[in-house]
Amino acid sequence: MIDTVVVALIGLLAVAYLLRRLYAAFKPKPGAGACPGCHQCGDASASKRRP
Amino acid sequence: MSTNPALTLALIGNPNCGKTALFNLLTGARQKVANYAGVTVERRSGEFADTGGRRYQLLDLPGTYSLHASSADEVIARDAVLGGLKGERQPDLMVVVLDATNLHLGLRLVLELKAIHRPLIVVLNQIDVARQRGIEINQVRLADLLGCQVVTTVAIARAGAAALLQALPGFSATPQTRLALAKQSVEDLYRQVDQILLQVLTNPGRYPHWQDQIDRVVMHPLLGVLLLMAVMFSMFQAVFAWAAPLMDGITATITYLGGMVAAAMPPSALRSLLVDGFFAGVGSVIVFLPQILILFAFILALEDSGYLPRAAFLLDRLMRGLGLSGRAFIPLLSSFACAVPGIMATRTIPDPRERLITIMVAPLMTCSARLPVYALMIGAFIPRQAVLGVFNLQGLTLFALYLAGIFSSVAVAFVLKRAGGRSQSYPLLLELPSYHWPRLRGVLIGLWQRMQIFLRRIGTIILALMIVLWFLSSYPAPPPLATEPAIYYSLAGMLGRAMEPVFAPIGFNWQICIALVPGMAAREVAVSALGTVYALSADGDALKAALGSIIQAQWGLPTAFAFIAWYVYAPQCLSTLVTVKRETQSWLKASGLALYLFGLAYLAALVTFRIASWITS
Repeated sequence: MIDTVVVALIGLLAVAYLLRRLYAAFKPKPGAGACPGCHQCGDASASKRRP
Repeated sequence: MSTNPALTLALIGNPNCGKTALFNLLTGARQKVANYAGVTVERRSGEFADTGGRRYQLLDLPGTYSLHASSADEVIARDAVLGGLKGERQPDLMVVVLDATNLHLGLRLVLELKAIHRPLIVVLNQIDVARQRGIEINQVRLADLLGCQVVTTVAIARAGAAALLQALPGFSATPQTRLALAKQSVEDLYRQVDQILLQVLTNPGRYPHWQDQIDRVVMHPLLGVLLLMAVMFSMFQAVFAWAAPLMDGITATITYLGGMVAAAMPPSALRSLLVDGFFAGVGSVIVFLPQILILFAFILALEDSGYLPRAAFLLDRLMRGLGLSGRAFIPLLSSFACAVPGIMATRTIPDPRERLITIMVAPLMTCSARLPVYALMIGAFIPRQAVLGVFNLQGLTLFALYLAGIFSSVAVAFVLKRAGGRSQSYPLLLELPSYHWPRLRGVLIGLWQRMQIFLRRIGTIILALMIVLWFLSSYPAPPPLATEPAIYYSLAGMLGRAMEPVFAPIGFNWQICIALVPGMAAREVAVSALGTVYALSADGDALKAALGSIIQAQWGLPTAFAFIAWYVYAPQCLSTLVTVKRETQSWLKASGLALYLFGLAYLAALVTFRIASWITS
């Protein structure tokens, strides 16, 4: 039973994450320019490191 | 508690003068830098503090030679300076970055900026290189003539921005005003530039002779093209030859770990999710990390060396005849990494039609997401053997696939050029940067970022898609007297079988059809999807063999070749389609791109499947 609940929760989390990514692709945050945030090019992965 | 930055600064200057390197140095960001013009096509924002703790917002703008913009990236730089960019305030201070080895080009922009009467500070970057070449600049005289502070920086050195940081506290916020460009004649501006240079350049220095000698070979119409081919050829040979031991190690580790999990857990849904979804699905993509890193090591080293703009210049005449120009070379080259930055880099192309054609063909260039698909197929169907005793057959096949992408893009560009009317001709004016040895630190940082990007994609979007695919492939449960594997009766199985009649003519079975659906999100997802689908299709509980061995046993050569041909063309990347829509401001154009590429993919796969079936029968 616990096994089924854990699997179901993982599934729900995965669906929620994918929906969020889909929404983000079509509605980028202001200031992010035209970047759809696909994390392919490296631009979207700019480090937050401070000097 | 956070406080608003005291000042907003904008980095502006000619392309490839070191603005982004300075931005990275000041803010600690790691935005992409390379030794050619047009790398930054969108403004980036970051924050930093000076030694006194005063905080600044810093905008990194696309490079421009003038405020009178002619291309989309230059418009962004101009609008940011004038305060017309939505969501950004007008900069309080403009940090005008000049390449100290080439003041002539940069000073025109300084004079234009002075004419809009906003505070500015001039930064002479690459002052170390200028000094090495014997260039002597009278900094005090330059400051007098320009009427602003002039400081020197070395953006690639750790303490290279010290002089700029010391100067910043002297500036304060300025009121936001409506600004307009002053009308100035270009001839007048350059006359003023010449006057200034006469007074400040006490020694113009010498361009290193060895760089000219290299250019004699690199930019030779025949030798240069042969060298370019040799460079690309070596790159793809290395991708297969060097990566094999590492890939074997990763495969063995994943198989071992998956086997341990399978042995430790009783049969259950959770075990199936871990073994068939995680290890078989996600694990089948992670294997390709070494190949991706080797490919990027070459690309990063070439980007840093100064070779790439020369290749663009070399190909200008060839590309012009086919409907493009050397200007399209950099965007198309960026598309080898990913079509998204490639499409964004088309902003540097001033001719709207040429820009649209470049956008339309950029997804045909072989992006790094195709590499796992190609490598899987090549590894499974092309033997690891030497050709002529030197070359690796697998590397040769990969090289041929990259060439297929390049030739296809050229052919499509040729057709699109002929299909439209005449357009204005823009000559290619390309600044050739100095050669230098690729900096090891820069290449290593770039590789580290690529690894993070790849692993993040695997740990997020690919993992999430595999979990969803596992659910769709596992439910509903099969009927009591089922003769086929459980996945056959699942939702995914039903979908795959519904799609099968459409794809059967190109040799795709229902399992491949299933993998194509999540593969719409990104190309490499198809590899992990195949891993999960075949793991769930196999009999028994033990961890299944590596994906390559499974498809080698179950697919014929015609299907494998048709699958490769499909992936040369298919626009299976949602991010690319969204970016095309955003850059063209048109869903119609994005849909047109998807339709023509899917059409080409189907046609290429059909022809490949028929020919391969005929040869092998």
